[in-house]
Amino acid sequence: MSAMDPTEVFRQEASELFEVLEGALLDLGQRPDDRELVDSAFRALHTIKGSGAMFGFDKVASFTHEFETAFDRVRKGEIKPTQELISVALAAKDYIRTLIEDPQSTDDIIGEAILDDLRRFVSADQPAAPVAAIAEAPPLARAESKQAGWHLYLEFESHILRNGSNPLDLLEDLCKLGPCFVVPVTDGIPFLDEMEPEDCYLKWDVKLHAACDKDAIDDVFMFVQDEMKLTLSPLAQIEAPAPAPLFLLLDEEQVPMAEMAAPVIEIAAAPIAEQPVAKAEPKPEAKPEPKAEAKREERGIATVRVQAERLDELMDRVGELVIAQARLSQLAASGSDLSIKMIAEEIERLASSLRDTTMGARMVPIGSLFGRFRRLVHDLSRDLSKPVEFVTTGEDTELDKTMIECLADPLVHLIRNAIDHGIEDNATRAANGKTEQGRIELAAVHSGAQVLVTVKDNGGGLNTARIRAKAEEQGLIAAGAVLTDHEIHQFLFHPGFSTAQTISALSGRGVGMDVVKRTIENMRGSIDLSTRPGQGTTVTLRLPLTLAIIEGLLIRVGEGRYIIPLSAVEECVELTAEDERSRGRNFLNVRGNLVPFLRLRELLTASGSPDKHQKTIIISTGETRVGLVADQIIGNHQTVIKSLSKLHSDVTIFSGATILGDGTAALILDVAQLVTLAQSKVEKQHISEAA
Amino acid sequence: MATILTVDDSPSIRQMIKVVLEPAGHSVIEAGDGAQGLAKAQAGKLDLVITDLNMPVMNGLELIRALRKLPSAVGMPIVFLTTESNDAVKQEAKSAGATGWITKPFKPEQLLAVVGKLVRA
Repeated sequence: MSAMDPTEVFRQEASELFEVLEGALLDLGQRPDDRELVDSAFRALHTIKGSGAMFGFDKVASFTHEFETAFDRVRKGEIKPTQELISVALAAKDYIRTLIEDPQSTDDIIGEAILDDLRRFVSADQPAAPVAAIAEAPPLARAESKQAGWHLYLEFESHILRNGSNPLDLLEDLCKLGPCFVVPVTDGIPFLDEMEPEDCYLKWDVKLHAACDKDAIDDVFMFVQDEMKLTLSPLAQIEAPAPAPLFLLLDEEQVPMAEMAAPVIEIAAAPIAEQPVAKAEPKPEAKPEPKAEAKREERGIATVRVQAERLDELMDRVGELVIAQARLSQLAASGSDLSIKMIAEEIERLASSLRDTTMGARMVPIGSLFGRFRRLVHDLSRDLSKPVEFVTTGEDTELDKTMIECLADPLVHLIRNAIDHGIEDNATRAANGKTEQGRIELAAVHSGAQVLVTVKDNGGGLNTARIRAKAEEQGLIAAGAVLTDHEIHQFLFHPGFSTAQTISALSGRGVGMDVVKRTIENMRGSIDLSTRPGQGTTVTLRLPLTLAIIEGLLIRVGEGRYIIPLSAVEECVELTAEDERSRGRNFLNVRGNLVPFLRLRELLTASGSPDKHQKTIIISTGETRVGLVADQIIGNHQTVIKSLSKLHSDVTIFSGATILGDGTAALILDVAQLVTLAQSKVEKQHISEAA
Repeated sequence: MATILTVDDSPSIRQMIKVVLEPAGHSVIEAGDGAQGLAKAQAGKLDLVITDLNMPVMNGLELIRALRKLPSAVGMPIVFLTTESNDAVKQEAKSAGATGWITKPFKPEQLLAVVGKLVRA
């Protein structure tokens, strides 16, 4: 059947329909109340009318239309199918059949007569609408006054998607009329838990830059006109055509309904971002992509010199913003207002990205610093007649600019020490079978949230025995005390400690290492030494990425809250009853190791009664571990560091303060000081026990 | 391109739809009444249904309502054929879940235009 001419199919079908119609009409004469017969006759007529018009049988269509109109009254039960009516109907049927099968053999007059009869029977004087009007396509729209285009605002009923209409398709059709600038209006989108996946929540604001007729636009929305609000207004002449035709963007893949919202936003966002407001001179052939890329490249190269103070100020403001945001988040989380929660989340996201960007702006590659030492090494090796090869790696490791500045002096000390004390003189090197040229490596590398800066020499290593002798001589340790090599090496950081026999212009005055240590610790970094006799010494500096914001552990002691820099925290354990009993001894048993601990309640003279279960936070600086006993561990806290005022400059155990989400202040504990404090307590205990 | 179901008790209309849409690359499935149409819709995924309203066994409105209850027909466009140009019929069909309509008699290009409007490649 597929290859058959539809007109031929219609003729066949019509002749079948006539039989159905005739049969139904005849039967109706016998059983005038049979609804089924009326319906079947009516359907036959309806099909003949519809199909007739389709296949060019216009006379059939118009005649059958009137026949149908008359018969409709029978169907509705308004008139009875009398014998007379059926006779006329049969005559009408015969007439239609002739119109289809042999239209030449009949005349319109016959048709008119039959119709008159029909009308008389159904006493319907209503003039039937001329069928021709239906058959004709809607007349082409009159050209409206020419203008720049249209501004449309589209608002669909929420069920629009369920009825198979796709607003995206409609937008696409709209784009075919001319360049469109489509902006989705998202304010109607509910919260996720209230969202019906099959509902349409988006509205659209469209600027159509084409002087098309209103009818053309109406045509696009033909099927949905009664399910939408379409606000249409002419576009002012000033707004020139949008540069890129949007349908290019809209095109390609069919978007599954569930994903509809997202791509649409992208569609609109792209042109807005790339081409902010159409300019007066449109560039029709401009390719937006490469152009944008070129611009981005230019931007990448371009730098702006900014005063360092401004960056500091900016960081300060961002710090305050982060604090305010934390308060907002806390407030939002305690309430039930979803829209506040949404805003709070948005601000949190923005604040954290702003913080990252601002910190990024302060980051400087450490290479700028390394460059300075090349000259230093050159001069020193010449003065000391120790040929030294100077190698640097990781120059592009980035650090906060203030830290770079603070690092310069300590590194000068360390490099001087390495050449002066570390690298042996030529004779010693030759005797030990080493190359004549010494080697100093300066390296920087990222390690988690820290940067490791190492100064490594291939000299003779630390003379542990000599350091020990010196320490005993200075009364730092009792003669014969059992100490590990590592503990002995720590004396190098003692103020006024120097093993260099002669004080040179370069080193040996004992002001070096303790200053280095203090500087690094002020940056919340740590310093560590490792050495292998005959092979060299490595000094490792561990530095936080930035000075301004740290990850902290928020704890409570009595009524007060304190921050411990998270980088120093090793673990948290509960203070057991056994440890509790050891009051006075202040040692904690952590998996077999004795760790000295400080009771923060006593140290901070906290008021109120202590919590039943005291917690111990184990902190460490390098190899030394100390426990801090607190009432409660609250959790992680993004800590914006505020420095303490001059009034508090003699308070040693705090390195700064921060403002918590609820607006109250918390002090930041100085880990290095606490460790020193704990150790001195231990030493005192040793002394008192010895006494 | 698309799989289109035409539901009409008139074979000539179905044939007409077929000869217009098949050369345009669509595959056309036929059904003689609503019940058959529903069965075909349940049997496989369709991109568009074109249905007559006046049909024996199950009429077009009943078919549209039944189709809208099928999970596989979510968002599927349904077009009805109507000779009535009166809005009441259109309104009834639309509230039953129809997407659009084609007024009979229609020209091949009108049919193609409506199909093109609702079926995307």
